[in-house]
Amino acid sequence: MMTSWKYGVAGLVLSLAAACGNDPNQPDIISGVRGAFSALITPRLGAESQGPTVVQIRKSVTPEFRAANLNRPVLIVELEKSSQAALLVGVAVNDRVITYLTLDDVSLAIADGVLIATRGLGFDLMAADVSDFERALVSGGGPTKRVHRYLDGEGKLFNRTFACDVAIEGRTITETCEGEGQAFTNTYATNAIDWIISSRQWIGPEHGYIRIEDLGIE
Amino acid sequence: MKFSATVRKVLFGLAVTCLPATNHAQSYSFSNYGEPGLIDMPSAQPASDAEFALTVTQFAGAMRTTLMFQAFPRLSGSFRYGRMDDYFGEDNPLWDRSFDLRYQLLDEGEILPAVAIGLRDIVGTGIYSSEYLVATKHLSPGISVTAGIGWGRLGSFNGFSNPLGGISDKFLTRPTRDYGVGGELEAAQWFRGDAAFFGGIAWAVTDRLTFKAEYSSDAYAHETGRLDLFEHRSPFNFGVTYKAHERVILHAYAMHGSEFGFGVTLPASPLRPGDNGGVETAPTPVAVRRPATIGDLSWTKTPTATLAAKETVRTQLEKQGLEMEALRVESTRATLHIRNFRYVARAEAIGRAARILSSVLPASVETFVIVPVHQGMPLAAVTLKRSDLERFEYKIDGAEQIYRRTEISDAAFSLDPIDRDPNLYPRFRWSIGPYFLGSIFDPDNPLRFDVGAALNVQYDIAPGLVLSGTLRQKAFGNVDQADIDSPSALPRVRSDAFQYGKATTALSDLTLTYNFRPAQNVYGRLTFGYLEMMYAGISSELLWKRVDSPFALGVELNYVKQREFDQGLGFRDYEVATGHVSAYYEFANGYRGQLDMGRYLAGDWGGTMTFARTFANGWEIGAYATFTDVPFDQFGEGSFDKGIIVSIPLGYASREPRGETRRAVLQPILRDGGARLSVQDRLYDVVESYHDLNNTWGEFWR
Repeated sequence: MMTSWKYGVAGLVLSLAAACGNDPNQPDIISGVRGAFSALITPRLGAESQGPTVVQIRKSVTPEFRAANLNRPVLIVELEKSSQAALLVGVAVNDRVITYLTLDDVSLAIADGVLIATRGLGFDLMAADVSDFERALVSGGGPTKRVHRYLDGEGKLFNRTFACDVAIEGRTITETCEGEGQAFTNTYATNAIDWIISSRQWIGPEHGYIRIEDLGIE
Repeated sequence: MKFSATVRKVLFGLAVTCLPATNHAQSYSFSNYGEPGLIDMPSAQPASDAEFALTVTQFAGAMRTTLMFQAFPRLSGSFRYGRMDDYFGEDNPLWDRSFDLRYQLLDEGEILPAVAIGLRDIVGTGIYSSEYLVATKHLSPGISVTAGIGWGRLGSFNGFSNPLGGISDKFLTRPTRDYGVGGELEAAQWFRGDAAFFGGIAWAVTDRLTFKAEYSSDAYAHETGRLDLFEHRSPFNFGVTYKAHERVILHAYAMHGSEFGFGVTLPASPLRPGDNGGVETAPTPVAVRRPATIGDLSWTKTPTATLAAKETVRTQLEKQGLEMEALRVESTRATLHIRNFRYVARAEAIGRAARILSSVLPASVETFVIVPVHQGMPLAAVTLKRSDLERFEYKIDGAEQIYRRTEISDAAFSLDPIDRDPNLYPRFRWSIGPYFLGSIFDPDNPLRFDVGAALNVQYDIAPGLVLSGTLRQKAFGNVDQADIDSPSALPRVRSDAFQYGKATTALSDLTLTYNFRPAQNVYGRLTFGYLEMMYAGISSELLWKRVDSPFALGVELNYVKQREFDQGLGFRDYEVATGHVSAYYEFANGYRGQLDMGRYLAGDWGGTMTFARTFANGWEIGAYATFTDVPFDQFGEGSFDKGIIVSIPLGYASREPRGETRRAVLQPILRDGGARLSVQDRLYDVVESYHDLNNTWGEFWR
């Protein structure tokens, strides 16, 4: 929808028409003003860092909580940069990818313990190709390739390719990656049956690392 | 068809594999003239592609406000509005508009410097008129050296006989500008007259702080002579710029050994809006079907199953800023018509709607047809397979894969009224909020503004038929104090704008609009009522556009009567029939051209050329010029109508996802020739973004 305001007073018209009203599709006046200032001062990264800690969240995952959520798989995550922690519940399965969702509508897509997409964070990881990494887990480690996909400022997709090295030591897997001016190291911890139960994975330059703890289904 | 498919593939390839526009690896800073440069002198560095910057500087009685846009990677244009004190005598300044162009001849390489050629103040009075050829070389990432040769104002200090005099004697002298009523390109002067050298060094000490020193070839003859604004003691200028914030750069200078100057630059870029991909919440994930259930058609026997599904789809869509216009569910196919209020990236609306359908509809429904709708007009039919949604949700190349398997076709008669949501019509919506009306370029007071409250009502009577109106009440402001006496040789179709600005309670618009699809590939609009601030009447439009074509053709016919100055219900005597035939073309990389030919409000005949650069995130920056059969001296100051167009996605300021954009038109001079009716919701912009889904397909999976 395009509205064109060419008012003939030899210049510029900006109309910030905003709600009160019963039109849900008009912008909110308060957030509009706040937003206008924040757009000038800082680009928005993620939510503010307040809220429960990982310990508090872990305590809240009681058998009653699990039953109320139909015993769906549960994750606890923490974004390192903002120290913001959240609880996620698995809501969908697609092949080997489980999509987990927070209360405030941020989602993570995890394939066998590896993060392959985020949504709702802003500067999201749109998709990732970690097939090389999965092959290396089976073959005991070695050099691999990893591809990340993001959106640029215009909303167009672009890829970042990284050259990685996977090292497996007992129950710890270390994936050291480098490429296109970035370097990061993902670490994973597995259980007795080789499932990744916790990890520290890099999302992208804006968000840095996320710690993921898989609480499974019970 | 074949041609378009190839074009589409090429464009898509670009969309996916192009790296994001990155800042120049090497530093550059802005000059007093609003473009990358030293202090007064230009450098040969281009700004980042698509960057625009607003620079305001003040030095010794000269204030310059410049808006620069790097329209192409190699070509930038600047528009400047400046004040020169005492030009017409004590306390009588000159307010002057000027326009610059700069072209990058050579990119900086390992050995070779960057080379650029520029023209300053090419239109109008020419107080800054100059031309230059300049080279810049980085000695290290933070230190650059610039040297160049200038003509005109840039050839006024320590000038020498024009080296181009070897080509022709004509180059040895520079004629004074016979600018008539202004607004015309003054090519006769270019590169003529004495030339002079200039140069300087810029040193970026940190990534925030830069020191600059230059040898200026500008003698400031006028300012130091007749106007006596300052003393030119030395050609050396020194300056420092400090990047206080990503989008705020401060400058300070010591000029010509006698004065200090200050400035601020506000750069921005549609390619770097600060929220890549937007701020929307997570979409509904695809619900993968159990293979055994796909063949199960037992649900078709219970009509309530379909009703329940439709209601769930409706509520899910609403949560994500989409409205269900209609939903038809058959055993293996569903057709969903949606209204999109939230997503500027149109493909994102499609992707989210598709995922909602996959999570609600019975497993046997394999084909989804999603049709975005605007004011009752279906705009395009996007057909995709549920199996493809399931297969490609998390693949690294999932966007390309599903695009290849998606069919986009014309949707003229896709909507069966039976399937329409009964709650949609009639429906009444209203909202109240503040408005801001600004006016610039008035020589007496360059910035005037009004602030007040605006009440907007909209009544959806029937599909395609809408009654809407806006009432404004001014709270305070000084727009009505403008006392412009602008004589006009033409009927006063726009030059009374300031009279309209005096209204404190104003009916901005009150219209009955009918949008319809008369035929395949054709869209229609009929608007009746108080169409805009100054005119009421009837406006009709037809647009022909194929879904897969970058080309469109339109025709518009209007009959209007001029409204009373008080913006009430009354009229003045003037009425006129206007209309245009328009051709639109989308070039590669988001560049758009438009040609309108027809009759304008003053009864003059002619054409408008518009050229703009559009971005997938809703930004648009462009310029237009209109030439009609009104001779330049009859048009008056400015010679012909021209302006800059900027469209900003609303979500940019509010940090909330919004599907609308706001357009502002900046006209340096407002006169009566080439004036066009300002009617809302013209068809092309409504339609185009839903045809070129490839452009925003990167956000399908967002």
